[in-house]
Amino acid sequence: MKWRNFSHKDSLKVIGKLSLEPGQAKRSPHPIYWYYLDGKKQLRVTMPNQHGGAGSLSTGFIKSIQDSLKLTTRQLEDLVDCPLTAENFEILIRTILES
Amino acid sequence: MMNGPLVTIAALSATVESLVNQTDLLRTEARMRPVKWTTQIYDLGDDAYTLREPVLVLIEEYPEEVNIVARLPELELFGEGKTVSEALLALKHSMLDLYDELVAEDIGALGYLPQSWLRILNRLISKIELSQ
Repeated sequence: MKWRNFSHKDSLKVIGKLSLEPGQAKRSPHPIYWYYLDGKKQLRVTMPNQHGGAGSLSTGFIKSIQDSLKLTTRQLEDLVDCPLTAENFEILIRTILES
Repeated sequence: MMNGPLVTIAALSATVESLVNQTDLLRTEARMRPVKWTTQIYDLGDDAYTLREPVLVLIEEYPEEVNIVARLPELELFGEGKTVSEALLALKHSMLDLYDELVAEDIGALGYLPQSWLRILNRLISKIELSQ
C-alpha cells in the first residue's frame, strides 16, 4: 500500500507528538531522533531535513521511517492524521519490545 | 426460467468488473515494488575507521523514483542517492554516525535494540587512533 504523502511538515507532527529527542548526525544530511521509553533510547528514526520542503518523501524514505517506528503504513498514517495517540503508540512499542 | 441467462450475464459482468479492479490494484502494487539486490561494502570512506569484514547491503530501486536506497536492515540504517555509490556513501555516513553516538553512550541508557546495534557495530568497526 502506497503512502498518500509524507512531507517535512508531517515529520514535525510525528516528532512533536511522540516527543522525539534529537540525536547525533554529524555526517548524515538528515536529522536523527530518538524515542525514549523508561528513560532509555529505544527507537532511532531518521527524519527529512527541511530542504525537502513541502514535497513528499521518496517511498524508500517513508518506509524507513515506518520501519524505525515499528508501524504499518496505516498506523503511520494514523499517527500523522491523529487517531493513533502517543499513549497508544507507547502501548504498541511496549508490546513489540516485550515480545 | 426466462431470466436465467440474463442473471448469468449480470453475474459474469460483475465478476469481470471485479477482476479488472483487482488487476489494476495489482498493477499499481507491482509498479511500486522496488527492484532489490545485494552488494558488499569493504570500507567506510573514513581513514579513522576500518571495517573488520565486508558487509552485505540491500539495494532498492523504486520504479518511477529518482533515488536509490541502500539498507542495512539489521541496524535499521539506510542511505539515499541518485546512484548506487551515492546511496552507499550515505549509508556509510549513517553507520558511522550511529557507531559514534552509541559508543559514546552509557550502556544503561540504551534500550534493547540500540544495545544490539552497538554489539553488531563493535564487531564490524574499529576506530583507528590517528597519529598527529
